[in-house]
Amino acid sequence: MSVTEQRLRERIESTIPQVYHIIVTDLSYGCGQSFDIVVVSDFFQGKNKLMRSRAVNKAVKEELEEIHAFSCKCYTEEEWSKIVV
Amino acid sequence: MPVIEIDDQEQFTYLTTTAAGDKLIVLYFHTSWAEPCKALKQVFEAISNEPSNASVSFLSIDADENSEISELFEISAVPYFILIHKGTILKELSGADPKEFVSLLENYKKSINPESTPTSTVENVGANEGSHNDEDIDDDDEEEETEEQVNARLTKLVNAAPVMLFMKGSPSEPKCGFSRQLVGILREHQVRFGFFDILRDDSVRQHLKKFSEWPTFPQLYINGEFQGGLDIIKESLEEDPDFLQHALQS
Repeated sequence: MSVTEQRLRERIESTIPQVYHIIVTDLSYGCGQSFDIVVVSDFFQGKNKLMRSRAVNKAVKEELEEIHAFSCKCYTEEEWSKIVV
Repeated sequence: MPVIEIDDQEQFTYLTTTAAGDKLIVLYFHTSWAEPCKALKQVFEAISNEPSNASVSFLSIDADENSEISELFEISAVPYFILIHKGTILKELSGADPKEFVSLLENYKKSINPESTPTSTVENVGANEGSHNDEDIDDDDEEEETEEQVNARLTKLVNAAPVMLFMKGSPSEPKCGFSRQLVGILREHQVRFGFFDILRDDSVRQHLKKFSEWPTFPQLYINGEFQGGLDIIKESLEEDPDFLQHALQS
């Protein structure tokens, strides 16, 4: 079964605490090979980029084996509010 | 022919033009700081001393000390091999895989000098059984490598150059868009880097994922420390345009 936006979203929501916002974009036109992910959570507070990404990588570990291209950005609520505004 | 160490451009020009004749010439670009070059140097010397390579000219060039020559050939990564015949570049090879280099050399030797093939064919047939055994032994060795040995090997590898890029393909021929982008970023910031093509070594590819605790490639190491993949490097550079220099100095 190919990886879907829904599946990735569920995995992240059930693994990362305090999720405020998730954007999962399938860039592969449905073949489940390329995804762009943004996760906003205060769980990332005080963690560097490497630690944040590792947490997300861990959440979608199984799915990652099947995906070819995977891009992930992690923000705290405060960082996110600056980007959106 | 034994390896000739190039001291200056004049000597290089003489050896590749006047003294070249119709000999096959192999250029080997290396630097003192790139770890893969050290091991490869011995391999290169051993190959040059083989009787079957008596008519091949082997030139060893320190890419830092002979910057004019490296610029002439647009060398952006070491180790780097170039095969030349009668003033024409036959093939360029980037990376530290001795097997690939040897097979390339054999191919071009054959295409240039077809008479020499029968001898080697006979040798191969005679040594068939022996070579099979050798292969088996090699395989066993790989399986027996303990986790400690693997980690020691990877530690060496990530420290092979101050900036080490683990990528799919080579900087001149990236095999993935993410790897291509990261090569572009490093070049744009004029960072010298060593690289390793993980598609050529599945053992490194699989083990490095665990070693770095990172499931994808490319992976960038600076001073032996894992920095991240493309996204993290991009974000870090947005926050600090001199991020790469700062990471190198820290």
